[in-house]
Amino acid sequence: MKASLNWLKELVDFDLSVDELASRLTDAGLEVENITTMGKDLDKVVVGEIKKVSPHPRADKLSICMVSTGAEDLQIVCGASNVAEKIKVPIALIGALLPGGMNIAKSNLRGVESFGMICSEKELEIGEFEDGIMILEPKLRTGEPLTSALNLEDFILDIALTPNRPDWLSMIGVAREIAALCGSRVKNIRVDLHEAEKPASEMIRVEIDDQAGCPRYAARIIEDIKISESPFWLKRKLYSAGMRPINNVVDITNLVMLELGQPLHAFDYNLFQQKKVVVRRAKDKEKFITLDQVERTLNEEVLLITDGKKPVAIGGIMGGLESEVTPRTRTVLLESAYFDPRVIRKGRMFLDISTESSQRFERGADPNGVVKAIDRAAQLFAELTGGEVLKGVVDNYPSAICPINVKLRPQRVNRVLSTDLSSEQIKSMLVHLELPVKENQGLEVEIPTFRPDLTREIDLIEEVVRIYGYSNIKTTMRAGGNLVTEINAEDEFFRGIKQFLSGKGFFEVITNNLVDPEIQRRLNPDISPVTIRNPLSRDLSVLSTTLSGNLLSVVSYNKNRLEKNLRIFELGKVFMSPEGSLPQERYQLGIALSGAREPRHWEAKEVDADFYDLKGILEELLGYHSLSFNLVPSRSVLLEPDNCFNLRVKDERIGMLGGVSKGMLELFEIKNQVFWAELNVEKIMSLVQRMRTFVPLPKFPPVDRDVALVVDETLLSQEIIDEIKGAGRNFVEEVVLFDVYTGKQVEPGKKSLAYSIRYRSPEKTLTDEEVEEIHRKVILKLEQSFGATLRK
Amino acid sequence: MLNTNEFQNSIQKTKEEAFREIDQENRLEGLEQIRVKYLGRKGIITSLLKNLKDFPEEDRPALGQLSNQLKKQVEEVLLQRAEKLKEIQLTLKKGRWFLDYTLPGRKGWVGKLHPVTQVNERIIQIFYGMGFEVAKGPDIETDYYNFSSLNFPQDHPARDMQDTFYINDDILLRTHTSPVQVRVFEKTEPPVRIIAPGRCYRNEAINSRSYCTFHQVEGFYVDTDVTFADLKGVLTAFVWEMFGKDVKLRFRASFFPFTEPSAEVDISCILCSGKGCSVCKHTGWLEILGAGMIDPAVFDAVGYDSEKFTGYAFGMGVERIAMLKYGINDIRLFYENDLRFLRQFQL
Repeated sequence: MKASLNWLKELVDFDLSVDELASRLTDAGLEVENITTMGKDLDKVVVGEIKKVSPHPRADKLSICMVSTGAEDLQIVCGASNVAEKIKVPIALIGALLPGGMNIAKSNLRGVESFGMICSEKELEIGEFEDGIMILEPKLRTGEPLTSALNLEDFILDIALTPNRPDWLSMIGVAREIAALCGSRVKNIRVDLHEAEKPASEMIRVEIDDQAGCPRYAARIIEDIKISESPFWLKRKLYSAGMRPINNVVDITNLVMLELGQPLHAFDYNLFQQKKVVVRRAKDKEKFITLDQVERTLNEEVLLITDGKKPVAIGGIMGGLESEVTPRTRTVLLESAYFDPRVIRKGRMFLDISTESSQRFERGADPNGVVKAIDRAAQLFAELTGGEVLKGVVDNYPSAICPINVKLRPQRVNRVLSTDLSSEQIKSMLVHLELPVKENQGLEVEIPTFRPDLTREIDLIEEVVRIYGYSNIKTTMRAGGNLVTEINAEDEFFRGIKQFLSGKGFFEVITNNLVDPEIQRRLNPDISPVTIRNPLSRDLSVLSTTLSGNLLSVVSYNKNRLEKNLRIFELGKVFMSPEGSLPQERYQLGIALSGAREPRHWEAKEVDADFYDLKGILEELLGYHSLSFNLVPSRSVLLEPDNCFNLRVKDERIGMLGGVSKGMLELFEIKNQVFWAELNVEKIMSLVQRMRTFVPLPKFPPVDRDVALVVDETLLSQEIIDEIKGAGRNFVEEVVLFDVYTGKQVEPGKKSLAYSIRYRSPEKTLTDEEVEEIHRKVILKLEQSFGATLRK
Repeated sequence: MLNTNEFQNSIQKTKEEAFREIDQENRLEGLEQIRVKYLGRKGIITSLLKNLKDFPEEDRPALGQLSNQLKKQVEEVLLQRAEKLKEIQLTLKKGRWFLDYTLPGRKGWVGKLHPVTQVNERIIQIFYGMGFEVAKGPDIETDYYNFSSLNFPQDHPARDMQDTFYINDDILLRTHTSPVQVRVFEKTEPPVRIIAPGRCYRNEAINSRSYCTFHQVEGFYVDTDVTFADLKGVLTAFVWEMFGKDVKLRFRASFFPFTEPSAEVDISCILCSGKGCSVCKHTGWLEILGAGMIDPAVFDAVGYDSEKFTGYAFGMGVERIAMLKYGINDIRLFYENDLRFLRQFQL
């Protein structure tokens, strides 16, 4: 909301600079985000009086004006059609620099000299009217600088409001706050109204069908109005609040809304055929054209103002096109009502619009401020439209909404705030906020209906601390509570994984898990993703079911920036939407590897990382937690058919590993090979034995024996190791593969594998003969099972 | 004429001197000179041997043995040193002996944690030190936990404060980590002191200042005597640990449905020390977090006695803090994962 400092000063006395005011308001919850200085650039623009107008001899559209600036008379050539004698106008003198950048100099217009310029509002950037020069009020003193004559010097505070305070959506509400902060009082807005003899009730009746939606509806009739442009002071106020003037009738309703926070609506009375107002709910699918010329389809959430037959406005939200005030309007029906905040909110959400009016009603207007606002507007109608205000307010308010009383215990205030405030101090702060306080076993506060946010003791405690000042609350550096601070096991486990991987040279990335459904489908065609009903855009409309898409995007992004070597991981959530059950989420670990195995070094040749690099990382990661895994060949659109494996720990699938498929690399526009692993870290965590008991150290020495075997190329090393362990019984402690060879030294189709086997007995020191015997058995078994031969 | 004792000392002295000279000699020619000096015909050791005949008969064998031992040792050391020098000369010829200590060492890749993780960890660490425990909650929440239980009534404008991604009428992506409060309260009796980190989502246009997903850390403490002054204390301690003790805090009134009184907390601009610069928009202050005393309505929703217990809660954006701490001007950088960005951060 924009608040003019000059306007605020009309409403409350205070002695603060604009910066001090902004800071006090910000501390109290009205965050001043910006301050705009107005009326600064109008040096050398003064009030002038046109003495004489004569036609330009050589141009039909130009006039030659003699203008008095008080000090001198100037000849000025003017092109506006509304020049006239004896009017006061703004004159830009020679040397003036207008806000739009125009430099005023002596000029010659078709042979006639001109010593200045008569300005329009638009040229001075103090209004939007540009079809003619600005005509000033006759009472202004000729020669006075325009800035002071029109009180143009002003500051506009741009205030960010919180939705709990409808009263701050009005100048009077902000003024009330300033009064409380400065210990001052708000000045009363003058309402002295001269009504005609003829009663309004003869002209209109008000019927409320939906009392819950519209607890109060008041109307006045003003006859014989004349639609025209509003006076400058009124337009100026609307501008300062960021609103555009329309005409005097509409401007008055807007001014009162800005001033008091009560939205008003002016109808052309002659369009009320039934001479009555009926407030009802719209019917489902009922159609109505609002004044923004949009035909809207309504539902039962929407309140309608009707004339008993046809709708004339959407209550509290927007008027109708047909009942709008026009230049021909002579009689106005003025509405001031109180609508239920929830009904207005539901209606405007359904219609998907938000207006100045709906904003105020949905936050909560003042049901008991309805009459004051309509009287204030009627008074301005009388003053500015020449209209005659008919006698009385036709006010339908079947069950009055009364102020409530809320108890406030000073000791509770002090307990919550850690203050030492006396009952008197508290009372004084509340009274300055116009909250009447009685003493009744503690304090009892009568909450005016313009403060719907105050319903409980804690609400009043907040009022006290706002006025007292948050900065006056002390700062206690102490820790109470429980001594036991448990470490979150999951966090700790994840932290370990992240630190391990970053230690292994992987960068952690964090990606947006709102992703493109199309890419999601390509990556994971079998799983239906969680879909956002109201996404920002289609490419951010589902939650990712795999980390692979985002990480491949990161690989692609960085490769495009000449990063050849990518080692990245993300430990983040994936989401699934299984048919017929609630969406599910879990943590997953994705690792992508591409580029060189090691950083370039002067001593070593650069080698690309491969499958075994990533497998090794996983072996280390899981091995640290004493878990070993098996790989089982698998298929996935993401990975190459012959380089795609499921990871299994203790017969549970914990993830997958392999080389990213050509198709996927193409999809992400990556030219190099990428290795990928994605693990279910929650499952891994569940498999880790957190509490391991200590294993006593072996008492007897081991014996190591090496064996080099020649076997079929397709035989898996793991099968040999399993066989060695089986044949060697309990004596085989460890089998390490230390050499793999294919080439000239062995037959085609064969390979040589060399293992180091560590034998140990838990019961005694094995003799050479004993080891030899076991080792022979092992070799025999390998020969039998795999046709292995010993390599010489 | 030396007596027996003096002779023995002299052998010892000669040995030490010879060894020292040999060790210090770097040229083969020099070694030859040393050899002549000690073992040549008129050499020191040769002379000693010549003098043996002047000693009593019974001492001669022992002294003779000593002298011969000395001669052998010196010969041996001379030989060793000569070999060493030859070896050095050889390697010098090959040019490989010189250690260029400016060549890079053998190293592997170095990775780093994402700055959001680093800052998140730091925040948790600071609060853990003050006795807060970590709790977590789901990203996909129900309307009840995200809004209703936190005193955001249905059809209330307060709901507009947080633009929400909906999955259906009741299920949504959490807009803040505050639902964890309610989840913890439902399971635990006070005192509770919790820090709840996690990812949140807002349906807001993506630009340099806002992204559709971000990380928050929620903190809350409920006990029988928690006051607003304690909230100021804990946040002051946090800010001092995160940004340094010369940073000032400003608490100003605000509105959150689930706290009352509510506060926005600003810190004095860490770039200009509060003098006013473009980062703090010349106000001298930077908005850092929201906080307040937990609203009794939240306690009512979970069955805590709001008369007996009071509590505070606060919530901060991790990206926001990282941006302030490192002067990052575009939140999207965190989600782009440009390695040139990620390489820069080490807390």
